[in-house]
Amino acid sequence: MGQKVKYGLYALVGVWLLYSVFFKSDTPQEMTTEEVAIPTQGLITFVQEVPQGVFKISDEEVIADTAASLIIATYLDETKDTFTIAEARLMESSGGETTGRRSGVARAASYGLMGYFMGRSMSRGPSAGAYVDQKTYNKVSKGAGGSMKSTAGSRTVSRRPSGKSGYGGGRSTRSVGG
Amino acid sequence: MADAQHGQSVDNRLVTIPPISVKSLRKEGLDWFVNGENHDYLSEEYVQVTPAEVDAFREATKEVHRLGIEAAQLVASRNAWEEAGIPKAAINLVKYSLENELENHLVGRYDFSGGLEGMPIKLLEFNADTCSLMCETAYIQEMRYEQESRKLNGRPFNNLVDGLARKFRNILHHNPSKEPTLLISTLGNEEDMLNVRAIEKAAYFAGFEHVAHEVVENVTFSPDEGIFIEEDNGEFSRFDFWYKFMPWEIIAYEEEELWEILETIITNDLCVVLNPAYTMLLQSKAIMKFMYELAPNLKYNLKTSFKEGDFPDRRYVRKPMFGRMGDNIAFYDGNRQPEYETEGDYGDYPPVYQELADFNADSEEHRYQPSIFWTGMSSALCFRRQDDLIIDDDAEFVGHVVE
Repeated sequence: MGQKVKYGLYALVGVWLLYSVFFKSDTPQEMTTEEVAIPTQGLITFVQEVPQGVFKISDEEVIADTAASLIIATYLDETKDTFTIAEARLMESSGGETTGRRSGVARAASYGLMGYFMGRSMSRGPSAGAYVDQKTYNKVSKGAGGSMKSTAGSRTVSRRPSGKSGYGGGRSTRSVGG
Repeated sequence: MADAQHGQSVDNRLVTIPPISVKSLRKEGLDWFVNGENHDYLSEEYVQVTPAEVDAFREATKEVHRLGIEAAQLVASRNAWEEAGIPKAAINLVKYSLENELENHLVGRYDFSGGLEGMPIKLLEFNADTCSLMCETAYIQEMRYEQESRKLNGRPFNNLVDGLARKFRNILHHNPSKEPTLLISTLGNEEDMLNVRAIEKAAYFAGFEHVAHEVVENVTFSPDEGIFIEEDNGEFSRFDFWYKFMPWEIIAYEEEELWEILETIITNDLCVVLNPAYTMLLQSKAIMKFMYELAPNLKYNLKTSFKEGDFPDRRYVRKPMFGRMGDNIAFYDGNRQPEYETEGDYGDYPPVYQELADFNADSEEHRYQPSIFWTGMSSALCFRRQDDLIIDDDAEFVGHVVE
């Protein structure tokens, strides 16, 4: 009986080894997940053109509703422009493909607190060089920045999904609404 | 979109008000609606509607929605998928969705004709999947009303954001194992990105804790793990809900690999995709043929067929099953040649033929097309108008008040 149990165990180990070698690569790996901070307050970021083609943040103010977050740009010719976060992300990611100054505004805003809504981790603060001067950077960091950090929530992120992207490219010229 | 005949005048219903303040639109990031070729998109007139007329639109919406679901089930029971515009590779998911995801339909918009001055309400089509006009209805109509409320008696019938939030809560309730994380994706068109603002706002109201945007092209679809976006720091965020402003028929006909991955993701319960796949069937204009078959005497139904020979008087419109923006519509009024025809991108889809409808009109020959947003119930009303036989991309958006 003892011998039978021993051979049974050997057989089980053998089956497990075969399974590991031939099948394990087909099963999804465990994802590495972690908790990261996310803003729960919204933000208005004011960007100025100083001088032509150079954009700096002149102020950032928290608002209650994250969905109402906006970037308000003032250009040298005194015209104004407004972006939602979604538009800013698209402008920033499309780089030179869109109007130069709009993508410039989005890029400048992404270096400030607005970057938290555009993919930058809250563990990395805003860049002082993105603001019109050091005084503005200090004011924003202490004020809006402090408020956003103290009210931050959290969510789970993964480091490695298997999968594909790139679908639906090149179809942005016409609305697909009906 | 719409085919039009002359109808009872609505001149006595129109109130002219000053144009909306561009400054206030710019402040809200909505100036796209008055810039460039959109300079004349927002009509300077508002339509006055009576509470009884709004009630009639709500009743019509309730009835045609119930019938639309019945018609979808009829298609399923007959296996009439291809007749209804569902390609072979898409049948499994649409069928699964119809059987399991009825509660997950977030929003659609019914386009009607008539409804004012006693003119009968007729269903033209249901934009069940990716409906436009949400931003104009939820925000611009409201902003303009606030600006001119002294001149306008009553209020617009606009509970769109609240209706979306209520429906989102309902969807969360039906998917209790899911985390309240929502990814909103468009294909990158500016109008579409503005259009989904109401979705984002409603999601926050409904209790979603994380709402993000990413164009479809940058979204990672994993058949094993679900739907992700990559953050700038190389981390990936996973979402339990995905609102896609990308029509199911584009995925089915042009992105077959994505359809296959989404089928795995949805049937393995890795993510809830909104609107659900069965809305492709409701979006197909073929569904109105089955609705007519089920209830030919329902007062809201227009006779709809797959055969032009079913209209011996040659008075009908020909529409592609998955047309948009009034593209590829032909208007026949008794002759062999169409009175009017639009070009467009959707001419390859099979056609359906629909009886002509009567439209309310004004003395400048604008035809008025009322639409009701459906979010599990009627949530908002809006109008478009055009001085053509077919209401298309050149239509004006017209605000309204109910008094």
